[in-house]
Amino acid sequence: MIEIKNLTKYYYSATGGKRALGDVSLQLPRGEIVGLFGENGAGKTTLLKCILGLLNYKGSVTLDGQPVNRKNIHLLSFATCEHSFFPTMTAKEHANFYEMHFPAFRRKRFEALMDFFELPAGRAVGQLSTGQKNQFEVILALCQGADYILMDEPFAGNDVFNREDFYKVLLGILEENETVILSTHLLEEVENFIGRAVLLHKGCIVGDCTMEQLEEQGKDLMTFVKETYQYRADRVIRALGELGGKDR
Amino acid sequence: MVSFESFVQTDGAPIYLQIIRHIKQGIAAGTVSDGEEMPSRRVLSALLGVNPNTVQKAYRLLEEEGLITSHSGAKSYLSLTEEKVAAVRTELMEGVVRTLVGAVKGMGVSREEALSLLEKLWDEEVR
Amino acid sequence: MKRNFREWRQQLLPPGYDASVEVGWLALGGVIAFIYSLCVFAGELGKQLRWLDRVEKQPVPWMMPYYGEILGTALWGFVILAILALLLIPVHGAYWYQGSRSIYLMRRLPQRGELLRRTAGLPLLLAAAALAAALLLLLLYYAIYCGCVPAERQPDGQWAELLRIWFGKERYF
Repeated sequence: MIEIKNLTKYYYSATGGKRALGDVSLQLPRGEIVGLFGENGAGKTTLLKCILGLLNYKGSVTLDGQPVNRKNIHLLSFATCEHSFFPTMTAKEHANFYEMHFPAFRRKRFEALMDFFELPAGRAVGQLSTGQKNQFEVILALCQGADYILMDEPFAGNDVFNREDFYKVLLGILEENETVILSTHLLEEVENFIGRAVLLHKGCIVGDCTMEQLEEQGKDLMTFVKETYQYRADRVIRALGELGGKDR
Repeated sequence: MVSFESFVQTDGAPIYLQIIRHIKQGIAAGTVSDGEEMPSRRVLSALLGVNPNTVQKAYRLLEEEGLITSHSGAKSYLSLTEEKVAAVRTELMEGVVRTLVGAVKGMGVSREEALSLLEKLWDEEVR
Repeated sequence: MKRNFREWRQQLLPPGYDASVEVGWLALGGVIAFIYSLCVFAGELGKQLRWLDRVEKQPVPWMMPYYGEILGTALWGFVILAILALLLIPVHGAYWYQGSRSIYLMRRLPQRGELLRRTAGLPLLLAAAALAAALLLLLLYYAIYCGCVPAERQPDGQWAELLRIWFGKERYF
């Protein structure tokens, strides 16, 4: 389980500090598919990067009770829309590189996925189309042999058929102990795919709900999201009203 | 193996209910039979693109209704008797007719009017 | 053999990085630095030896200039090469941000030191090679100096003088 406790992150710049995450606490058990939602700048990417230890932060992130370090970092993989592959290397060379650094690398799965998406194994991946690059990035994250697969807007630039394919393939190959944390703004599309939705707003978790709970309440994901944000909007309006009242 | 090729997802109803309805329609129409194997949960999850929990829920409810049984090794099979098939048919039929009656009543149509219309359309449909 | 060397070299470089061009230029630089050192050292030594020849018959005991003075700027080419090689470190570091953010992968590798090795490895090695070549020539040229100049014409304290010329401050006064 990934356990996040009181995670706070500030970005400092010449013009002052900006709070990117405020006191986020979250538990992500194995075997779940979690959707991470929020407006642009809500802190989705920052949260993922903090879990991976790519950013400094206050608070704690533990992996099965241990802090994330070189010994257990292989349990985490990361697919990002910024891409983290080596653009001048071929797919085949990537597989070798991963195998060298991650002993649990799933070569069979890698080859099956390369086949399924018909990606060229012998061409530098930097020369592929944006959609293919995204696919390749996600394939690497899925084949690293990690238990927690973190994805940050992995399908930006892929068409809808492509993405649907991916969700289905993912559901077909994921094993019981594999966890997916998917940050995206494609709410409706992943609604049936995920088992749990976490909502971020301005660096705070404002909603966290399993899809089963939503179903029992007879709500769809979009309604849940709108209600959650509406609630915030109401509060803002009320607060503004109160402030105005004091002035008068 | 129970086929899901004709399964079409519709908006509104929860997916697990849609899965259950698909099975029941198959039972009522006689396209699936006793002892037939259900796809594994993972395969169905991938086939429909829905979370494994959702499929699991549908299977659990079908089990509770006694329409499928799960053996060791996680394989599930349809478990049907004549009574069960009849019950499913009645349930589905009732559901459809209830909706129809509700809609027609809502338009202020009388029972006689509705029945005669039903008979007329029934014949047209046959032709 | 050559293939093995290439594979080994690639371990000191970002994955997929083609360093053959920059290694080629530095090798050419090495050749130029060597020729330059030879010209400077041989030219100066020859000049001083001819002078020594001319004054030999005279009663004044003429001493040969220090080895360090003869050497002059002969080895500077290698120092410049070493600096150029070190300048490759930021170039290789920039690779992690070009076309993708492979830095994210490098930073989450279980192997500590992999990022550093693949960023600075080859530049450090090349810089070390340039300095080693300079050291080798330093000793070789000294052997030539000792061989060409009669012992009684060689001043004492060669190495102290060399260090003073290279690192000492007093020569500016």
